[in-house]
Amino acid sequence: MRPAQPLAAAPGAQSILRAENLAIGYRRAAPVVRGMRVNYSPPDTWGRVLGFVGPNGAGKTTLLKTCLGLLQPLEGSLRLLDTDTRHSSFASVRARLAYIPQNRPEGNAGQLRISVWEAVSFGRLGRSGFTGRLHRADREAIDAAIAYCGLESLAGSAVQDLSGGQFQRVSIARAMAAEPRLYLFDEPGSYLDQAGQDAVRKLIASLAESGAPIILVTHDRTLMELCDSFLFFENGKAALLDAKEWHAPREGYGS
Amino acid sequence: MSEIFQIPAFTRAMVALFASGVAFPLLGVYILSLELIPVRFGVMHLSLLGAAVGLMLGADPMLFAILFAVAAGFIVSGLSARGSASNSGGAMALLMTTSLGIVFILFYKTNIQAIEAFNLFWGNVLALERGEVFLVAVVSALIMIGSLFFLRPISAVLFDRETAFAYGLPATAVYTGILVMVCVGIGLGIRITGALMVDAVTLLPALAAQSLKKNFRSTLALASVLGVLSNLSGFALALAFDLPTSPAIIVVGSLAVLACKLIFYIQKKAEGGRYARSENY
Repeated sequence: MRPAQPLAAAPGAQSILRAENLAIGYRRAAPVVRGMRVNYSPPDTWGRVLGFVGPNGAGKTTLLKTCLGLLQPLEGSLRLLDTDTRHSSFASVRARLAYIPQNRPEGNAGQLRISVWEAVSFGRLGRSGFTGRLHRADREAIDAAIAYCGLESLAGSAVQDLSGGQFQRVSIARAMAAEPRLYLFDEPGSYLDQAGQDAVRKLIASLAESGAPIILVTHDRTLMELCDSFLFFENGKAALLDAKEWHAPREGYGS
Repeated sequence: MSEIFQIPAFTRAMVALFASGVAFPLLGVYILSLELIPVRFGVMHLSLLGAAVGLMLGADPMLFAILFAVAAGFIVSGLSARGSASNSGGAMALLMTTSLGIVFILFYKTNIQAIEAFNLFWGNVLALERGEVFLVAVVSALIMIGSLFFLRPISAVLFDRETAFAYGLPATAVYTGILVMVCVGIGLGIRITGALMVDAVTLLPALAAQSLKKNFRSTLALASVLGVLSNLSGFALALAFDLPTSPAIIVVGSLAVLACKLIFYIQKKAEGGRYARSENY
């Protein structure tokens, strides 16, 4: 099955991710990774999957958050879809990215009772103007994403009442509703049981088949099989490897 | 009985309690959702300091309370940008105790009358002046309009601020807007219910509404309804039994929380019973 609306790669984009002497990390803390020089510019971005892999704390999620503009580069520059993440024009690029976080929100905020449909509709926030008003095209995109992820029967349910796997599907539906130019997954399938992991894996595989480029932070060996390139993080450095280079020397890595 | 409506102080109080009853519980829902309980303590004490400074200068204490509260809001917003607003308990404790210390020094060293100082702590809705009631009504209307117009961006930020930002929403601006609303509400609340009982018009109706575990929109609507009911019935009780107004509102609000929790418990139990019966068949 394919998404209702094709999720095309960035039109005319030359590079998905490009880092120049990049240092990433949190303010008032030592950089997690420094001196990163990466140019991920596959000749054809259709269905490309780039895996961020490496040990815990090596900087995978930190780079993902820097890609989204949630963190600023500490040094150097980072360009996503040919736009500097620090440039004011990046706001319009960010509205076309789809971020699928690792966990559901915690604390009281996570207890805010909103329906699955509303949670998916947040994917249209970047397009629906200042007041967030939804138009017909927005509603159609939301309905299509809900249908694609098999959530129709849960559309009216509160997200707080969902299982972990169902919640991940809501996050993926929200991402699809955004009709993004690039998906960014942060360890999808973590904390899920086997059935939940399988469902999420199938969804990601079908997204990749539909052509949308994907960046995937993962430790999961079966998800790594979807990747055609890897950004390997280790000892404060990051190196871009193709699938052959990645699989050969590091058989023991990944779960 | 109808004569009481002829008394300007009474009608002013009714208008202020109705307006704040409708709008301020929405702020309570935001406070709870953003986990701003310690923050609102800090803001409350800083606006108390503002009101004391206003009294000392012979100016409108409400205006100063709001100014100080908004300043506190921007401080909190700055802390939040560094990711430390909701877990800034230590900083808030320092802010609270320091503010309270300065307030008492101001009361001690200046010619502020005891009753005026007392009103800041316990509130005196019958002492509200026309301009103050107008301000409460305008701010309440702005809170309602802002909440209605920006309901989706607000709910997205309350649900998950980071994800809302990642999807292109100006989440920091929305968050700051919510904080400013909360701070202005707390500043105004000081004059209505007093610094120590601002929760009566903000948090208690929100807690009551949230305990029924309805969806976000219904929770906001229910909080508003409960806010008006608590304020007006608390006021009526205060008049009927010669009680101080703010504590009467607090007691009614607390009863509303307990009643809502009980209703939810009974509903749950009934649903469980229905489920068990259907399982038997």
